[in-house]
Amino acid sequence: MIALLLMLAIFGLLTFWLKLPRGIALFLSGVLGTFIGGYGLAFRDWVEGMFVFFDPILIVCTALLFLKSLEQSGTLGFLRNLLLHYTAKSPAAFLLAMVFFLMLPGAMTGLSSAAVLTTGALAAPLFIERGLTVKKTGALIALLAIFGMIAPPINLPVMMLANGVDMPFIGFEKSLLMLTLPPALITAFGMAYGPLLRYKKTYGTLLHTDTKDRFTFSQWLSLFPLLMVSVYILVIRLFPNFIHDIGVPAVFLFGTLLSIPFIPSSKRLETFQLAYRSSLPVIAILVGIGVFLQTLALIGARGDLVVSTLLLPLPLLPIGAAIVMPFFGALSAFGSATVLGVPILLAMLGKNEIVVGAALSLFAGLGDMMPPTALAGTFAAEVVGEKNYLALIRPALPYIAIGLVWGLLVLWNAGFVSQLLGMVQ
Amino acid sequence: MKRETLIGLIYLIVCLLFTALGGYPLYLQRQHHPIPVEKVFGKRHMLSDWASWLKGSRGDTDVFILEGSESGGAILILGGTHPDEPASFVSSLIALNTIQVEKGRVFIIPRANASGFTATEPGEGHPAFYTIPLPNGNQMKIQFGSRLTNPLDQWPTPDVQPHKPSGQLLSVKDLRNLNRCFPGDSCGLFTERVAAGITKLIRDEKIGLTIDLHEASLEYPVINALVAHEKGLEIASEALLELEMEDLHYSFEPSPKKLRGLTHRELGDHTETVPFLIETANVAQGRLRGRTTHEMITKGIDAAYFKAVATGLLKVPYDQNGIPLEVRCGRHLSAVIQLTHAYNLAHPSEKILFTGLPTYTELTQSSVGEYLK
Repeated sequence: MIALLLMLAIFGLLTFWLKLPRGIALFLSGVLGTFIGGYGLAFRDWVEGMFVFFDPILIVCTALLFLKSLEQSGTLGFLRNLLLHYTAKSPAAFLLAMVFFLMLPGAMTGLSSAAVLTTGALAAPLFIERGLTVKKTGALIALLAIFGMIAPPINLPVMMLANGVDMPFIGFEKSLLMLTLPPALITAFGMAYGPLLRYKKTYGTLLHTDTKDRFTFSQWLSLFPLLMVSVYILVIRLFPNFIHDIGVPAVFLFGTLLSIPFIPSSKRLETFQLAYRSSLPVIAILVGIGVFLQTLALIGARGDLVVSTLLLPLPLLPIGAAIVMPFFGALSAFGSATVLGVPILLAMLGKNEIVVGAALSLFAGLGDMMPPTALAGTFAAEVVGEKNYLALIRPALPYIAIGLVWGLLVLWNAGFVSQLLGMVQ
Repeated sequence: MKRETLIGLIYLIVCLLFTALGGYPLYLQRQHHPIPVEKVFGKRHMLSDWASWLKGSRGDTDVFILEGSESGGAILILGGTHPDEPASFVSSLIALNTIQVEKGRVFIIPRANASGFTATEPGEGHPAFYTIPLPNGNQMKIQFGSRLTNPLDQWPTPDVQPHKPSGQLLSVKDLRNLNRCFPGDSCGLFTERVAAGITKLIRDEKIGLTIDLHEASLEYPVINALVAHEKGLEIASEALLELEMEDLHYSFEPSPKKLRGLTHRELGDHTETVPFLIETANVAQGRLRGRTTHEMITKGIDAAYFKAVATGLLKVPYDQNGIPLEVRCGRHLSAVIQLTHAYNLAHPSEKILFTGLPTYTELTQSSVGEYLK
């Protein structure tokens, strides 16, 4: 445990005192951790650790490339106007549409980052223009993306948890919906309903101007790449028996290729440069977390953390899980699910494992909003144009707490919840 | 030179340095190392002799056939389905070194997932190799490996894909886990193709008894256990009784019908073989473990697990003596002996008779290295 605290202290020092980028600071903390643990120059482990999140890195790079292509081709602006035009009369209808819209990519890919970077970027200006502060908008987008990541049909943390205890990934849908929908709705309405209502009262509509006249055929046509990507992701998830999953990065690349004809030729190179610049800091964070996690496992600090958590008395274990898992999720939601989630789930065998596993995945997922890395928060900050991602955390905190308390309630009452949802085990 | 260019150059040099110094050991780890046995009593084949689709691929693996002078039944011992479970591979090596078949045929695949031996799981901090001391003072160097297929051999893997033929959804990790991909698909993903190869061997060679050797972490509920398909219940009960007589306790687990892709379920459903899976206790793969050292792997000693005894979550007794390879391989091999005896009783016309395989008592009174010389 001392090694872990020392590594965290080094990270804090490098980030807040030397002002190094978080990715570099995490990487250096991991590297120095191997010296603390007595392994010295552990080049093999450092390089291996860099590949812990190789697939998510590819998703982030390609998602950003696709997003920038949509932005440069004018598709994002058009879609924003379109969505607004048809939900402008009712703030509640607008918010419900946005909850679905913002959660969908996460639910389909199992990644909060994919949601923030796609629909999050689309929705951000809508909220900001209608009176929601930049910080609250970022927090809202990040939280809904996280709830989307935990929502069915695809929840990667719970799949990893299930894999760790040899439980098939079936029958999770109802409990995951129950865990994510209420806090998602509370978050959306709690944060945005007030400003939207005020805007509606002032202007009589959520629309700035009548946008319908400006919808042209070429704008409708520019939706084609986005439509193809959405349909493909939807179809591979809904009909996995018939459609081959070529992988989310390949789908985004495919979408980028389709969108190139819609980008003015003078902006094409710039699009790629913008995507590269946006993705580099994120890649650095993911590489850094990987090295940090590898070192934790290598020097035995990970085991110390898990055992210390499990030494809590069984009745207190859910509370321990609700505290420790999000904090560990700050490094990686997937890491939290596999490293802490699996032993905790094993410790709670006897309750309804599906409900317990689903609740634990929510705790792990909320780690995507926890400093020092706060992946969803970091991406959301980028999307809304807020330089300091920590500014997004404060408005998000009450809703993170609501998510955790809701998860705890479900966890404590796993048996009752399973009966309520008609789940037989 | 501009300041930015200089900084860029420094970063580039550092990156190249990391690539070279970190990449070289990873490159060495990626090589297929020969099975470390000096003398094999039987014939050495490759899995591609049955499964042509694996020829020349990194999924192809050694298959050893040890034949008796009399014809009889056939047994398959699967080692290394999960390469990071050392007692599985080492037990199959001991079998290769010691077994003498009198009747029937014994098939041994020490590295069922050969690809998995060529990588370790990023984020786990596992060593690339571990060593076992031999009586002549030398050390046998063995690849530690990963539970999953090397991503360099199967990439990209879909995030989710249905298991064939059940349709149950498998996650990206399951799809690289050989023991989730049975009965396999000769045209499917790399791991599915390997599974299909093993299934074809079992069908073509009319293997009557298949024993898949595994290990599990100490907090995992299915540990020191025997998992049996429903068609092997009688054999399992008989074998468990005999093992009890040797003071070896195994929990009995019927193969769940809802959890697809595992050897004990799919090989039983899709071939004529009677499949069993045996689990021993391995601290090196648990999430509660401290630093993974050679000692932890071979002697099963770990301070973090000793501390974890207080959690009450460990499913097997654990003390400072650890759970060494001698105990784990001994349990595996005694179970193989007793399952074969019980199989012979149930199938008198397909008897498999062999000698030489060390029992639990023999192994724990000597050392694993003694049987690997």
